[in-house]
Amino acid sequence: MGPVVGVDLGTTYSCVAIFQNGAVEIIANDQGNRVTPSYVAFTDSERLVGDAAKTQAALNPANTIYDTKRLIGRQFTDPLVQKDMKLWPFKVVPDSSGKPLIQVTVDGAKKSLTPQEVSSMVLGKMRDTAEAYLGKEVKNMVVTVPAYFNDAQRQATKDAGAIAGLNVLRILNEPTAAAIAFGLDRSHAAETVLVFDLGGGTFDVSLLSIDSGVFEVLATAGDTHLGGEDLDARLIQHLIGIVKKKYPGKDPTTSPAAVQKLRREAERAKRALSTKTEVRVEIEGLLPGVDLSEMVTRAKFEELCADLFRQTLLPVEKVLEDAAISKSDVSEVVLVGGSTRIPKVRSMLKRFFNGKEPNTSINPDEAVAFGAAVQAGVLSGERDKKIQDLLLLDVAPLTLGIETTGGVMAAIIPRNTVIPTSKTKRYTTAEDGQVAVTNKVFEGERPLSQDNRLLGTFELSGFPAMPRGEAQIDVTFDLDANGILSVSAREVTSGTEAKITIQNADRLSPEDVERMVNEAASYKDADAQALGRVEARVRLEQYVHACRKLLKDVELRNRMLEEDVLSATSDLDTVDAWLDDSGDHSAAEYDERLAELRDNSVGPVFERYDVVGQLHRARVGLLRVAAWRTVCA
Amino acid sequence: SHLGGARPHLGVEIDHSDLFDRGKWGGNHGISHYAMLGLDRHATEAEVKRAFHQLSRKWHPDKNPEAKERADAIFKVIKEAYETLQDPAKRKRYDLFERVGAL
Repeated sequence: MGPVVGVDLGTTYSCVAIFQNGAVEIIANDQGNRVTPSYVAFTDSERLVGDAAKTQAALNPANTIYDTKRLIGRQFTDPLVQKDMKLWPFKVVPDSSGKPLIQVTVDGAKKSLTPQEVSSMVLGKMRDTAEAYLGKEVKNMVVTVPAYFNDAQRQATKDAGAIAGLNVLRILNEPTAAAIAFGLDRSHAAETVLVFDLGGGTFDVSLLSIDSGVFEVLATAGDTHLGGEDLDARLIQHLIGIVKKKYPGKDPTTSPAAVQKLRREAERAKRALSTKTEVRVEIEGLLPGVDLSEMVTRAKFEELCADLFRQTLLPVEKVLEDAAISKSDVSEVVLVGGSTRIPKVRSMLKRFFNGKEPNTSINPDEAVAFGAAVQAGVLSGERDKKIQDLLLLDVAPLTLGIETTGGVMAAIIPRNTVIPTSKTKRYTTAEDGQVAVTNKVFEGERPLSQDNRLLGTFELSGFPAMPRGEAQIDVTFDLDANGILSVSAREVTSGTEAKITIQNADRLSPEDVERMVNEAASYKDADAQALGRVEARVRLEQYVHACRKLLKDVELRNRMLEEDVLSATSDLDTVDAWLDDSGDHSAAEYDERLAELRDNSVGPVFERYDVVGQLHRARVGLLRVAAWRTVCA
Repeated sequence: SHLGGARPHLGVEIDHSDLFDRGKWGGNHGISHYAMLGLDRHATEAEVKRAFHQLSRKWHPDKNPEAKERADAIFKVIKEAYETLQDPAKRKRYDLFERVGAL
C-alpha cells in the first residue's frame, strides 16, 4: 500500500510523522519546521497553506482561514460557533441545511468552502511534506482527532481526507496516540496512565492501562472546545478592555487586522508567561493613532483564565469515576499539548494527584503525530519487533442509543465500550398492523433524547402487518475501529431483511465529496502554477543577488573597467526595480528577464573577466534556499 | 504489579476460529464467557484482563489484515465475555444466571 504516515491534524498546528526502520521520524516541512500552522489563505493569485498562510495573516485577515477544527461537524447555530465567529476575521455563513461555510474572496469573486475542504488542504500540505521527505507518493494516512469528538466530527474529518484524495486508514484518538508515544519504549510492568491532553483548541483526558504492548483505554472524557485559543481569547478581551479605556471611542474589534495583531501578541505573551512572571505586550499602530503597551503578569493571566483551568479537572474526575480507579492507582500523569506547559495547569494537576509530579517525558507538540505514525506502522503491516506486539484497544467516547417511548434515550452502546463493537437490541411494534417503524439515533449522556445530539433517523419498513407486540425487530449498532457508527435492522419473525436508511444531516454525500475532490485537483494545478511562478522569481532574484555579491569581490573589482561595473550595476538595478513594483508575473516573464541578464547584459560582462564559474557557485549556494521561503519573507 | 504476575487459569480450550467457521456464533453459541476466555470460574479480575489482552493480540482485526471480517466477529465475542466478567456487578449477575440455568 506504500508508505502510511501519521498526521496530527490540530486546531492550531499540525504535525506529520512516519515509522520506518524501527523508529519514528517527525517530518519537517519546507520551512524546516516540525509543526505546520493549520492555516489556509487566499491571495489574489494563489492559495497558501501552513507557515506561508499564517505569516501573512495580519495583512490579509479576511481571506486567512484557521480554526476549522472548531467548525468541522458542527451546525452554524451551535452556540460555540456563534461565539467563536466574533473573534474570527474571516466570514462564516450558514448553507441551506444549516452547516457552516467559510466565505473568502478569490480573484474578486466570493468563494464558499466547507470546513472539510479547508481541513483537506491542510492534510494535503502534510501529505506533500511527507512526499518531499520520502520521495514517494503517499496515499494512506492515520489521522488523529480528539477522543471526545462525536460521530459527525469524525466522519467529517474522514471526508476531509477523501477530498484531499487520501485514504484515511484510521481515525485515531489523540490521547491514545500520545499514550503510545509515552509507552512504546517503556519496558515497565503493567501500569495505569492518565493522559492529560490540552491542545490549541481541544481538551481530552484518557485513562489507559498499558501492559506489555497492549494499550487499553479504560475511560475517556473531555471538551472539544477548550484549549490554548480560549486562553488567548481571555487575554485578547483583557487587552481590548485596556485599549477602550485608554482611548475612549476606539474599538479594536471593528478592525479584523487589529484583532489579528492582538491574537498574535496574546499568543506570544501567553507562551512567554510559562517561563517568565511578567511580559510586556506592545503593538504600535494597533489602530490609527492607537499604540498598545501593557505589562501582563502571570498572576493576572491566571486570574483571567481561572475558571477555564478549573474546568480541566472535571474530565479528570470523570474518567477516574467511570473506570472505578482511585487517584493513587494512577502511576503516571502524562502531559500532552502545548497548553500543558502552563505552570498553573501543572501545579493544579500536581495538587489534585496529592503531590505526584506530572510526567513531561514526551514532546507535547509531537507526541500525537508520533503515536499516529506507530499505529500507521501497525496497520500497514510493518514487520518490526518493536510494534509486532503492540495493540490499541480504544473506546467509544459517547453513549449511542435510540429514542423510545416518551422521548427516553435507550442506550445501545454505553460510553467507554471497547471498539470495534456490535450491539443488537430487540424491539417490537406499538400498534396493530404496523408495517414500518421510524427511529431516531442519538449520541450523548442525558436521559432524555431531546438533550442529546441527533445523529440521524432510520426507517424500517416492508415487513408484514402483525398484531402489536408480535413483530420482533433487531436493531444492530456497529461501531468500527474509527469510532464511526452504522446502524442496521431486520424483522425476525417474518425473516424480512427490510431496507434501512440513515439520514445524517452532517454527512457529506458521495457526490459532494466527488465534487470537492475535483475542486481540490484544480487547486493542485493552480498550486503548481503558483509554485512555478515563485520558483522562477526566486531564480531571477538569486541570479541578481549572486551578481551583486560578485561585484563586491575586491579582487574582481580591481580588474574590472569602471564602465563595466556601472553598466552591470545599472542593469541589476533595473531588474530589482521591476521586481519591487511588479505585482505578479508569469513564470515565463521571470525566466525571460533572467535570460536577458544572463545572455545579453551582465552575463557577457562576467564572461569577459572569466568569473562565470564563480557566479555559478554563488548561485547554487543561494538556490538551496527553498523557493517558498520568499513567499513568507 | 496489580496483575500479580499470575497466569490465567486454563479452563476448556476453545478454538475460536473453528467455532466461527462452523457458524456457531450468535447469541446461542452455548459457550460460557469463562470458556471463551480460557478461564475457570475462580479467575481473578487481573487474570480476566490478561486473558482478554492475550486473545485480543491474536484476534483483533488490526492484527489480522488478511482476514479482517472473520477476526472482527471473533474479537467481538471475546470482548463481550470480557465486558461481562471484568465488571464485578455484571459478573455476579452472570454467575447467578448461569447457575440458575444449569439447575
